[in-house]
Amino acid sequence: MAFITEHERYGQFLRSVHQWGATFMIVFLLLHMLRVFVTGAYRAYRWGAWIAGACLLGLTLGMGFTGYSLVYEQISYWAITVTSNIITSVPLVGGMLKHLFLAGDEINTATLSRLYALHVQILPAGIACLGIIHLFFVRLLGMYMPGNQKDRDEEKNITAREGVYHFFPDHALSEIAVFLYLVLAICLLSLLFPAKMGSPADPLITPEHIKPEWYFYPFFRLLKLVPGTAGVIIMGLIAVAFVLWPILDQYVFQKVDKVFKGRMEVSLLVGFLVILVYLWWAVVEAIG
Amino acid sequence: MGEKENLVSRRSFLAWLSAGAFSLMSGFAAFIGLGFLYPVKRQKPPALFVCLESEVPLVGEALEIRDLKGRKVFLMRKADGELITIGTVCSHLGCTVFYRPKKKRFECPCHDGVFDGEGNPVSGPPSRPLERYPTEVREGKVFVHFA
Repeated sequence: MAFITEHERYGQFLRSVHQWGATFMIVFLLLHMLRVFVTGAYRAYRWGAWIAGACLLGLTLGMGFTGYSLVYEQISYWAITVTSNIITSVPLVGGMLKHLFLAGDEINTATLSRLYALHVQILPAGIACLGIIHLFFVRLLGMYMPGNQKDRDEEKNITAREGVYHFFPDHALSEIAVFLYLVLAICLLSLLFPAKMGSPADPLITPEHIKPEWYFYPFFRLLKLVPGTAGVIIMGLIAVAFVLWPILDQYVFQKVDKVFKGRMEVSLLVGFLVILVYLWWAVVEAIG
Repeated sequence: MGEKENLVSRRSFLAWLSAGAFSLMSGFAAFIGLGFLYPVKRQKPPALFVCLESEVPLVGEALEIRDLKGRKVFLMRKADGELITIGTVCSHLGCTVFYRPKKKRFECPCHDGVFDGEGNPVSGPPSRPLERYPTEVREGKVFVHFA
């Protein structure tokens, strides 16, 4: 990593593009999920697409984690240490999973090989498979049309008046335009804020001010607030609730809506509350 | 007459006996064989000489020593004169804690865990104390049992 960053021609630029690209991917995934949540596009039995999408977010965060662990800076070493201890908290099989994750009882050279295999083979393969499943479900039930029947009729009128919006060239051209703008933004950010090498990993000293990458800030905060392994268990429950959100919505939140005779959207209230807490914890850690 | 009364012939009894013995022995072999899947437990290392008792600082201060893996460990003197050796691996999620002599406490930089001067959790997420290693003084020399 030090060679790519500090010696190879254009190595630092290439690494910066990789890092900024990863950041953009997570930002856009979060924005996409926010849109799906706000418009309720996971409803009407579109569970499959949501569940595959939520798992895709998890795998992408896994790519982020393994990515910055492979740099083998201080933040990498201590992130692996904390994660391996979180894994140990899993009931019954925790110790075995930790051994599998670290390729030993402690971080060693084989740990990096294992993380590398995860980063370049296993997680990308998982993302490709889940991506196909995600798109399959989207195609199976069609795109979600927000709004009521009147809006849908209006949409039909526009199509009748102006003709069908074709994939090619209409959609393809707009995609290419967005792609070019994104490439420009990533290149500019890579030139202005290039990736650098931090302090090398030191197994003997944890730096006084250590934080994970920004997308893990809320979980980092949660681990500070909740004592013992309870924080780890709560994190697991949040992940399960997030993946199964459409089912929770249909069988819990919408039942509560009926109590209020349809004048409430409990899922929106609960979701916004979670998002607010998520943002609040992220900001506290960012400025703390 | 006697042979006719037997429900099992001598031949089939021998067959059952040998099958039973085979099963017993293979089960025993499998039981031992499975044990090879797990690493051999190392013998407990002997107590390690770390310093002279006179080198251990006064109450409230800490002497930094290293364990067998090279990790920082603190040797301290309690108010009653007893010597204690405290590990620096946080009992919450494994980061290295710092000793603050002025506050007489250990602080974890990762998740804000705080331990008192004897390694007991005071605030923050840790619920278990820091690891303590058995420490003994023999003829003015301090020995620590690092497990």
